[in-house]
Amino acid sequence: MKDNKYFLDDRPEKISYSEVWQKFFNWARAKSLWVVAYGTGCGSIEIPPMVTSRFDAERFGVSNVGTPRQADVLIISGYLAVKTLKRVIRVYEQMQSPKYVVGLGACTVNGGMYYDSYNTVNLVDQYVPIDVFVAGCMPRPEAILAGFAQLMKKIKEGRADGWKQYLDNLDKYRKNQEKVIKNWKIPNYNW
Amino acid sequence: MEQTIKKLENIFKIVKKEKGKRENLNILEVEKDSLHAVLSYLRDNESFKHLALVSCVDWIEDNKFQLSYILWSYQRRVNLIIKIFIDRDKPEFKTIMNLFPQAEVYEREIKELYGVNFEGNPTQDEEFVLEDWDQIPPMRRDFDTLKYSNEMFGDRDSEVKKTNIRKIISDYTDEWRRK
Repeated sequence: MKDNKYFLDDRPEKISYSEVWQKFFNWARAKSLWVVAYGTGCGSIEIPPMVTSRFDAERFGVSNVGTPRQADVLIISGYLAVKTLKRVIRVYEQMQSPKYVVGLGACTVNGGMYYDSYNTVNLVDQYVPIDVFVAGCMPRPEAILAGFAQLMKKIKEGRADGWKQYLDNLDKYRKNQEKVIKNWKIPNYNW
Repeated sequence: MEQTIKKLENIFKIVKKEKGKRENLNILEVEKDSLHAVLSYLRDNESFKHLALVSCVDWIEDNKFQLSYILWSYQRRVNLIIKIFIDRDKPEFKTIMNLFPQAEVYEREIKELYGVNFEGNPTQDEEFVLEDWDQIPPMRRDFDTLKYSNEMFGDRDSEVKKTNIRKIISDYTDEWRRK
């Protein structure tokens, strides 16, 4: 072990498969999306009706899990404060590699009704890559399910590559993150 | 309630009396030196045992901060707001933690959002909601939140902003009406 590292902060390596395998993987990934249960704003109140019996997202393979390690999807539900953005970045980087982000509500698109707030991030996709936006304030569970259907379509077509872009442009994303979050000694990568 | 206010008037100097919007709400303005005495009198003799909230208002035109102490009596089921004014250029006051220990958190919040210094509060300098804030306190009215937000978080300056949405909607509705 060189220079006494107590934790790993190397950037992840990319592994590429042949096109046939990738198509198979994408088909399989779209069938079971596990959502990390992390509510950042008021939109998280719409998640319980979505996963429970009335709208029953599990028939599409969408289900809740407790930890970021097992999850495929991170939902940014509603307004995102700077304090929460720190935690979102950590959660996002701890997730295993085929990972997707859904932005819920008008606040993630352009700040929504908090466009002039001192503490709400206006453009979330500058800090974390977002695959699908669901507009509305707040979107109903039907709209969230429609967003998930769109996400599944994108994954099957191989277009949901936000996590690849995040690794390719990590320096750019870090620069944006460091502009907003002050006095934070960001490691190379949060494993 | 009127009897209580009369008793208070005999002992302390009350600058202004106001009626609240509800039946069981009264607002009294007192001098800031006598606030601790008024609060302890109300707590011990008039059953106002519950401090519901400490809040702050920025009167930038008068160059003053207003501190409101909202009390509640469980026995009589009435609210009483005691308010004082302090100087905006020198925002300092004494803590009321010796009377109501739960005021510690409220004062910490006011310290962060308005910058009022409460002498004697041990935890007021800790972060309450904001982390690493380096501007003037954000709830002061001379803090320009829109400018700060645009500088810090940017704006989605896409086609959406350039297009005149209202005109598109009105054109569409006109066309629809003509049909």
